[in-house]
Parts: sequence; structure tokens; C-alpha cells
Amino acid sequence: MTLLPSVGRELSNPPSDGISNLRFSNSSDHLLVSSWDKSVRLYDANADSMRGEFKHGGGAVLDCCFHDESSGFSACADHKVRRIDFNAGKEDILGMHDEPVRCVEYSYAAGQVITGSWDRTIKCWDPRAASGPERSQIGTYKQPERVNSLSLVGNHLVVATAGRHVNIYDLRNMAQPEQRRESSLKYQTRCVRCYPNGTGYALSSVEGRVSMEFFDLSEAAQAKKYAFKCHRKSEDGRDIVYPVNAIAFHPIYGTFATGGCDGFVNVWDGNNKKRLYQYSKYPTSIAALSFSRDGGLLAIASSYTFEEGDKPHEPDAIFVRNVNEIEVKPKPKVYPNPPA
Amino acid sequence: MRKELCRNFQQGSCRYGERCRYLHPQQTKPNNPFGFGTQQQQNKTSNNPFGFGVQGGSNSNRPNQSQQPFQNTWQRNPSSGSGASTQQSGKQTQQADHKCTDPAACKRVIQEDLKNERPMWKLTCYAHCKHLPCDVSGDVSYEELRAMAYEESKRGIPLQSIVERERNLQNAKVAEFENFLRSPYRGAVTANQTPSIFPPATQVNSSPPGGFSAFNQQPAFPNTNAGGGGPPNPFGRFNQQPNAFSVNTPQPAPSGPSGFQSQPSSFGPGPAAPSAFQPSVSFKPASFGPGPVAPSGFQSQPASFGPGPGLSTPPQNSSIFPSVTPTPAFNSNQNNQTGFSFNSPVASFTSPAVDTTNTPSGTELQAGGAPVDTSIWLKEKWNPGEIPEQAPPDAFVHR
Repeated sequence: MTLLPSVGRELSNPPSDGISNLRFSNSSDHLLVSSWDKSVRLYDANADSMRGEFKHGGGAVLDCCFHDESSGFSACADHKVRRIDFNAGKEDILGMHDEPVRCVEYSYAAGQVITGSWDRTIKCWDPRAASGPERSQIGTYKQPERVNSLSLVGNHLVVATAGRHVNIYDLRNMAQPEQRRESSLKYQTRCVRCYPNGTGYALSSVEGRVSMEFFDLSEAAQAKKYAFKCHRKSEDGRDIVYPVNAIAFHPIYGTFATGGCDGFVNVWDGNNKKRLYQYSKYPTSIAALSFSRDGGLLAIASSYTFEEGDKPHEPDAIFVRNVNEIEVKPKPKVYPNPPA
Repeated sequence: MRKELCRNFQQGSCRYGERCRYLHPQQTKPNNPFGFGTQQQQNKTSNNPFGFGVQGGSNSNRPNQSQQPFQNTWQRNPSSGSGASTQQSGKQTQQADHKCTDPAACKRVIQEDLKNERPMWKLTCYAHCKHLPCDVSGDVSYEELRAMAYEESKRGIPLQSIVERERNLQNAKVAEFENFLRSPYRGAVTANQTPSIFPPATQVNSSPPGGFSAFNQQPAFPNTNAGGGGPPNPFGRFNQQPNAFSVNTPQPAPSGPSGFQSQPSSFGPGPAAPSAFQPSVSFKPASFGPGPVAPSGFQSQPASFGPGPGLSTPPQNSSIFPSVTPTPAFNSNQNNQTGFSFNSPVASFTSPAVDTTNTPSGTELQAGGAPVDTSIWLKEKWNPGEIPEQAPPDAFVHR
């Protein structure tokens, strides 16, 4: 275990190819990591040990999520959604899409697994059903375009697709989206993440911008939405504009971290519209971010995301930082004349 | 209010923001030729180096510099790029409330965006007006590109051709943007949303199949376009064939020319237009290859865009498509087009099935579009997903 104070602890035994996503568990500091090397790995972030490696023969694993401490789900480029039993070290197929499955989430509220795919659908699955797509699939919902990212909070599901479409669903009524929107950013959407308080979501794009949106369609709520620029570098009067690949919300403070292809991780206070912190630059693009359940740890996947095609790049690595309160705690505005 | 300039503001550290007694240049909005209303920015404080709430304009601030953590005292670096930051702060207001009423204004917005904020990732979609559907669609994510590359490599395609294909894809997309920049749609949209001056609907098919674009012409499909309407996307699966990104088969690497390029890009979401959907089956469209293709004539027209700017006129397409069988139709350019898609000769439609190995989804090739229900043009307001790909028939244009 290498100890680098500025970037955090680097986990040993990282995947041998790009990291597509990583997630902390809701009940421990176990970290689940999916990779282009066709495996899903489970780490104990505190002990820096790999607890399991689950090889998916079919293709790159594009996403993963926990179900509970003993099992999780994976989304694979071979079109299959799998359930992984960590203890038994086995996986089985929960269902399939017609194209690579890009995202997987588990909804505790609905008790369902939700997957999004490049086949332009999202599907809901019952994880307790017998394996096999016929038995376990609860529903399939067409999307306007290929699904790039999805996020859940409470009963809300937000789906971001290619072509800048955003569909917002209520999990209790999936027959049609509750809202259909176009992204308020101008370029391709990279990532969408809902606020932990359930009032809205943050959307990031390839143009170095993040937009903060709200579910409530009332004027008052919509007036609060905004977008900001980030992950850009100024050079010769022009900006080099990096995609923002990852967003992760701190579970307690509601502040959030963003990671971009510039290798930086920034922490933002969305309510006060300020940047709280910027971590030291990582060796290569940030592919994924995740806060632990109490916000005490931040896992960072520093893994080249091929935004510039195939080129030599730094090795893919996972860093785990201990998060200091000062980096993530909001600082309310200071007014020169406080109200009397 | 004093008439002096606020010194703190110039340094980027005025705490009073709107309440400040001294002048903050951006508040005076000198550059407001279009009379845009006040910025609705929630954030009027002068310390807005990230442009919170502001769209457009480049931000030459370097927030990273000399930052003590938690200090948040963004210093505007006077030497950085262009003292432009103050000049541009006025410009920032221009895009805040852009409405597509004046084509020149739209064009300006587009030019600024593409000049100042061109993302490094080229295979992106673009809309000049936030909340509106894309002007340039057919975006591909880097994961898709990577999956495609891995897939091809697994099949034994040499790295060289993979790289070449990707490069072509990228060039095509860049060319599409260039074209778009040169001739963004002409003018106000007919029915809110983006103007769609598409080739006469009759062409149908013309719209490049590809595409995923959301818009399917059918009014029937409310947004989701399920690819191809009708038959569930038979085409969708097309992609399976390697084509997804064009390459596929014979010709790897789409050759350049061809204006649209949809080619390469087509895969995927095919630049715009997907009008293809449509069960068109009748067409044989199968192809889509080249996606938008259609117009092969164009070249310059971005054509592909989906709803967006009409550009194009491609009307020519019609000839192209007919039968789709791959390509030939396209005349010209596209050579590769044929490559696309067709992997599976028309017959394949139906089943997407194809290979499980998953063709990189990339492109869904959609068959050419079917004729649009002309009543769509009479609607006052379109929902996303209903917007026809094709241009309105002349009868509806220029009222």
C-alpha cells in the first residue's frame, strides 16, 4: 500500500484495464469496482485488501452496484445483467438487453434492479425471482436514445440518454416518464446524479459544465436551477474544455465532488455556489467517484477513459482518501451586514 | 450609486456583489445589443469565476491558482487570456436568454460556443439553445467507441483500421460541426422548437436512418423513439454489425468526403435524422448506413441534424434511398457507407438478434424514414420526440 498524502491511498490489486465505475456499500466500507478487464472486484477500502474478483467472460463490465453486503449486480457489454454472490464467488444472469448494458442501479425503495442500455431501453428486474430474463423482468421502457447514465433517489429515477434527453420517472408508475426534458447543457451528457435530499439532480456534460436541476416544476423551484463551468484549463486565451465524467454526492452534507478528464477532483457546495476544495491532480482522467456511507472516505478511479482514443496512458488505479470535514462541509455566505 | 469602478471587483474579490456601491462593469451590461433581459442569473456576485448560472462565453479565470484551500478568493488573473474576462462578462448575458427568433443571433451564439467552448470530445451532440433538442445529434460516448474497438479487436481487425475508422468518425463529426457553423438553420422555427427545414417530407427516407436521434418522426412515438417506430427497431440491431461505426466490412474507414459524414458518426445516433425510424421497412432501408446519408448530396450540409437546422435541403435524397441496399445509392461519397449497415442485408431486419456479442451498439441503423404524417406540421407545439426529422412540405413552410 503506497501512502501518498496528497492523492490518498492507492489500492493494491487494481483491475488490469480501465475502471468503468466504483461504489461504496451502504453498510460498510467495501468498495465494488467494475472494469473493462471483464471483472468486478470487491475491496475492503480500509484494509486495502481485495476480497473477491468476479470474472465475467463475456465482455467489459460497464457498471456495478451493491444489493446488500453479500451480493451485487453488474452491467456488462455482452448485454447481460448479472447478480453476483460475493461469498460464494459466483454470478448468474438476471437478464439481458439487446445491446451492451451501460448502467445498473438497485432501488431499495422499490426492491428492483434497474438497468439502462444502449439498446435504448431501461429495464426493471426483480432480484429475487428465479434467474432468467423471462421470470425476473418486471418491465422494459423505451427511451429516446441510448442510455448513458441513470440515478435514483427515493422514488425518483433520472435517465440521461444520448442526444441530451433526460427522462424522469416515478418508480411507482413506470408506464411513462413523469417528466421529459432536454438537458440544459449544450453538449453530450456524461453523468447524472440525484441529490441525496431528493429534490433534484446534477447533470454533467463533455463541455466542462455541470447543471443543477430540480424535479419540482413550479416557478420557484425552477428559478433555483443553474449551471456552472468546471474542469477547464485556460491556455492562450482559450479554454481547454474537459468532459466531467463523474459526480458523487456526500451523503451527509449534500455537497458533491466532480471528476473530469483533466485528472482533477473538485468538491462543490451547490447551495452556496462555491467550490470548496480541489484535490491534487491525479495521474489520468477520473472515471468514477464514490463517497462512503458516512462520507468519511472518497474513492477515486483514476483511469483513462479513452476520450482521446487509444493512447498510452498512466496505469489505471483506485485511490481512497480520508475526507476531511473542511473539504466537504458547506460554508454559508458571509454577509457584510448581518441582519439586526 | 457611485460612478467609480469597484477596485475589488476588478480583482475578483468584491464581497458586496450587487449591493456594492461602486460600479461593477458587468452590471452595466454594455454589450446587450439584442436587448436581452437582465440576466436571470441567480448569482450576481462578482466572484463568479465558474460562471455559476451563466452560459456561454469563455471563462479565462484560473481558479486553481494560488488557492489556499477554503479560501475561495478567486483572483481573476489579469493576464490570463485576454483580459477578456471583463469584456466577455457582458457577452455572457447574451446567451442567457436566447430565443430562436433571429437567425443571426442564433448563428452568433453557435459561433461563440463553437469557438470558445469546443469540448475536447468531438463526437458530441450539440444544441445552441439549452432545453431544446439537439441541432447536431448523433453523439457517441467514449465507452461506446471503446466497446466497439474492443469488439473489433476481438474479431481480429487490426488496430490500424480501428484507429482509422475512429479517426474518420471524428473527422466526419468535426466536419458536420463545421458545416453547421456555416449554415445553421435558417430562421425561426416553425413550431417552437428548432426549426426544421428538412427536405421535403416525402423523401422520407431521407433522413438518415441512423440516428438515434430522438426524433422520430412519428408523432406517434412520443419521445422514445423506439427506434424505428414500428417494428421495434429492427434496425436497431443492425448495428450489430460491426458497422456500428461505420466500418464494417468492406471498407474500413469511411473515406472522407461525403459531407455528412454521417458516416462515421452515423453510427450511432446517426446524425440526426434518424428519421429513419420508421418502420419503413418498406424501404428497405436497411441501411442506414451512412446514416443520414441521405442527402448524400449534401455534403456540406450538416444535414444530419435531426431536427435542427434544416440545413439542408437534401431533398436529393430521394434518389438515394430507394432501395437501400446499401449504398450504392449514395452516390458519391460515402463510400463506406455501404460498409455500414448493411451487414445484414435487408433481410436482417427483424432480428436484431444477431449476435450476441454485442455489436457495439453504436449505431443503430435505422431504415429510412417513412413518410411523415403531415398533420404534425399543423401542431402548434411539439413534444420532444415528435418533431419530424424531415423538412415540412412546402405547403407548410413560409407561412
